Amino acid sequence: MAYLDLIDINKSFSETPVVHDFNLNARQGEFISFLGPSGCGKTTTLRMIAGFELPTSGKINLDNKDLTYTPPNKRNVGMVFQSYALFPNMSVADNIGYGMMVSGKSKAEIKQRVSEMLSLIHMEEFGKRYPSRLSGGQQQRVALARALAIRPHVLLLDEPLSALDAKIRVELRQEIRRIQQQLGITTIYVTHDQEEALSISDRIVVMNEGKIEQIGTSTEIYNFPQTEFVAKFVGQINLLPVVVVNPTEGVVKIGQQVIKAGQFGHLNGNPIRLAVRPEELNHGFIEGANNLYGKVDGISYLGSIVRIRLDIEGHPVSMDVFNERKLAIPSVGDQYQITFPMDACWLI
Amino acid sequence: MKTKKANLWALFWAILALLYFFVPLYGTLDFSLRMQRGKLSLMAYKLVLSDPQFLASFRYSATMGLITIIVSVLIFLPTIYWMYLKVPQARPVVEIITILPFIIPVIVFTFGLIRTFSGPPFQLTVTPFRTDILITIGYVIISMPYMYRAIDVGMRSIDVRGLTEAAQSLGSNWLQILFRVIFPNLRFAILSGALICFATVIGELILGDFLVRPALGPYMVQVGRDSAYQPAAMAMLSWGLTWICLGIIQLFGRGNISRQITGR
Amino acid sequence: MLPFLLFILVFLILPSTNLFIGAFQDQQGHFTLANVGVFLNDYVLKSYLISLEVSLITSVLGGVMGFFIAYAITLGKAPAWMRNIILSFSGLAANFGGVPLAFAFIATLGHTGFLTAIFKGICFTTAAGTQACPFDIYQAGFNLYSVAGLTLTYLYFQFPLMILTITPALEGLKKEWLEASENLGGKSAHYWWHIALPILWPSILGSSILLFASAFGAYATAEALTGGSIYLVTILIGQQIRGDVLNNPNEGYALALGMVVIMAVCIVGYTLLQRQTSRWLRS
Repeated sequence: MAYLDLIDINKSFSETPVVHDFNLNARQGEFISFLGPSGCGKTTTLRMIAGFELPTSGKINLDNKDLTYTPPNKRNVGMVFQSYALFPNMSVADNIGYGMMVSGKSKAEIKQRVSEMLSLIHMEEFGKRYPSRLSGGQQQRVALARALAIRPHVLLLDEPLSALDAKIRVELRQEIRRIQQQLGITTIYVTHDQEEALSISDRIVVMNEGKIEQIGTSTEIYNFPQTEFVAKFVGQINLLPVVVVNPTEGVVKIGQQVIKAGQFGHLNGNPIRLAVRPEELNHGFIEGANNLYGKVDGISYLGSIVRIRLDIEGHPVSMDVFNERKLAIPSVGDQYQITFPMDACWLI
Repeated sequence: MKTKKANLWALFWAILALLYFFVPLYGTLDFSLRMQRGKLSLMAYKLVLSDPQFLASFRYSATMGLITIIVSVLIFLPTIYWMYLKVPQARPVVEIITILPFIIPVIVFTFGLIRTFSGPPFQLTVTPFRTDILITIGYVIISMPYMYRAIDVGMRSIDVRGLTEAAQSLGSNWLQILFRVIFPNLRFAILSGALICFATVIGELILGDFLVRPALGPYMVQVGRDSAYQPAAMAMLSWGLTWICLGIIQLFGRGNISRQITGR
Repeated sequence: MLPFLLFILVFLILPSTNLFIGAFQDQQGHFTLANVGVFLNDYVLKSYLISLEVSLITSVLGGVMGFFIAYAITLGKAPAWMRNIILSFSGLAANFGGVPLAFAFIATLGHTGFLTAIFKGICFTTAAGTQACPFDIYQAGFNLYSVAGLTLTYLYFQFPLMILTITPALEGLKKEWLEASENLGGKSAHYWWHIALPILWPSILGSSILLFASAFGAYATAEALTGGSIYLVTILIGQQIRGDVLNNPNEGYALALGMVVIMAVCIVGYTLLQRQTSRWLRS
């Protein structure tokens, strides 16, 4: 039993299943992200932990206590809403102190905790301001402080940064991670932004259509995706249809070109594809590694990355290289040779 | 834990509301059917509807209602259109003006009308025809807030500038634009304003009474003094009329919405 | 634009200012403040008091009723069919005033009204073996043609007006605020006391002021119900128009001006208060 357990959670809204067979064991102090496209059930699961939805079946345990049917105001889990949901008629200080106020703490205690929280989010001077006078990022930090002020056992965040500009998002997510580590609080973070999830989580739960595709660390998810969905959803991926040449060695071919895959499961004759990430491809030919050649179809400048689109045996392949000055960019129509290590690709 | 059941407190108030709405209505209906002792009959209704004075005053008020609608639309529609197109900054002023009839109670307004226009140089209360002019003006001003609101809501939902410029580029003059382009697109808004206008004029008492015109309001008060069952019947008829007016607005309002969705 | 302004100027502004100027003139047309003394007239004072009394009672009662009913159909989760009927009827009832309303209440609660008869007919045999019908409301002192009766009648359009104006505000309360409150440990009472009511009170107050103004300016219902025997300010002004009961027309104008001042204050108050609540609901 870990600190927070979700056991066989299922949820249906009038006959439509929204979450099924959800199992998770979160350790104390862990930062776990729920990652997936819209409608995959991640927010619903979060709301079940908070108590705003009841699971159709399954259990939720917190520190070995059954939480499944406890009312939301008795669970002591702090939630940060996507829309912040700050109380507009109260100042920042009153918002942060609300949780303590309703549980009857003394004025002195409340004042103390509020100023602790304000320091934590680096907004000491903002106590008397009202939410309508704050920027989006500031409101988000206040919402965070408000949730943390009650010293919750678990912190829940529902896409807290989705309404903010890209630059602020990056700053704030680091902030959130820093605070989380400082307090050592178990945290569940819902997002559809994979960069966010990958950069700050201890573990990621990738979800699709109500079920878990994979649970793992950032490295595991990115470098060793276990399902096609995860491979496609997280990062960019090239998928080439190939024909099996030698099933025990993982040798396949596309057209007349032969490839040896680093990882492969049971090759039983079903349509197989070769998966390799664009950043693993390089220009050139290396003896002993995998080599392919094709024609350059197009070139896109993405800022720090240059994406070269190739046509290999009639199939599109993307290759990402850094936009360094010394880079020799090919022209459209050129014949092009690429190479990549054997363990950089796998078969799905 | 969210329960989807209504709590008892809420149910109590909802039921109270329904009772307060329906009991007087039902009571009036029942009362209106009891003119003949001992049984339910429509005698009160028959008497009301066959009374020539009733028909005359209904006809008068209905006619005045229609005239009021026409005058209102002729005055307000171009004005609001102009405001949307050329002088949007005049909006606050216009809105305040349209709120004035709320601030100046009808009785006070009537007082002012009489004082100002009954003597020289206007002398608008000397002949029935002239008084009719005065009363129409009064009706137009009283229903101004509602008519303005209705047209305003309608204008907001159409692209006034775009339509106008398109029509202009095809060679229309202002009059044509107003009547062939703007007016047809605002049919439903104008209809709802017209219906409220109509209901207001039909039920209006003060102007009719003090300007001594044969409107429906004063007639009803007189009947109320002289008889017992007819007033109840008239109240039901009045209710029915209001219900029809508002019902038509709802009906067309919904139709309008579906039209906007399907684009036809 | 021009015809509109001209129209308004001549037919609204002119008569009104004429009236108001008249309030400050004497019989010969000279400027005077003496007409303000009309408010010290016993008659006039009483009429203002009665008007204020009726308006205050109906706005408070109508406000409270309307608020709880609006709560019932929004957050209280009354069944959808109840909500639809109540909302449609509120639209209807808020427009159903004047003479027909008076007639409806006479037919229901008058001397021979529907309800009156029903109450009178509730009879049972007493221990002594006689018939007792103790629910004759008129015997008990009730009278439709009194301030109490007028109040009941006014309420018929007051509480629907409240429902219509306060329902949007109630629906504007974000669900997340309630959830955030629960999440932080608050119970329903905490939410209402610290969050919902503070956000809503300007709207509630504003709507009540609107109700007050609505009752204060009403004429037709009272006239049709009581034939002018209850001395509201509006009725008094009506009598003044007909026959100068104050023996000084200029005092009549002062009376009218007094009414307009009160109404203006109400409308301004209502507008400002509504704006405050909308600002909070938008955030």
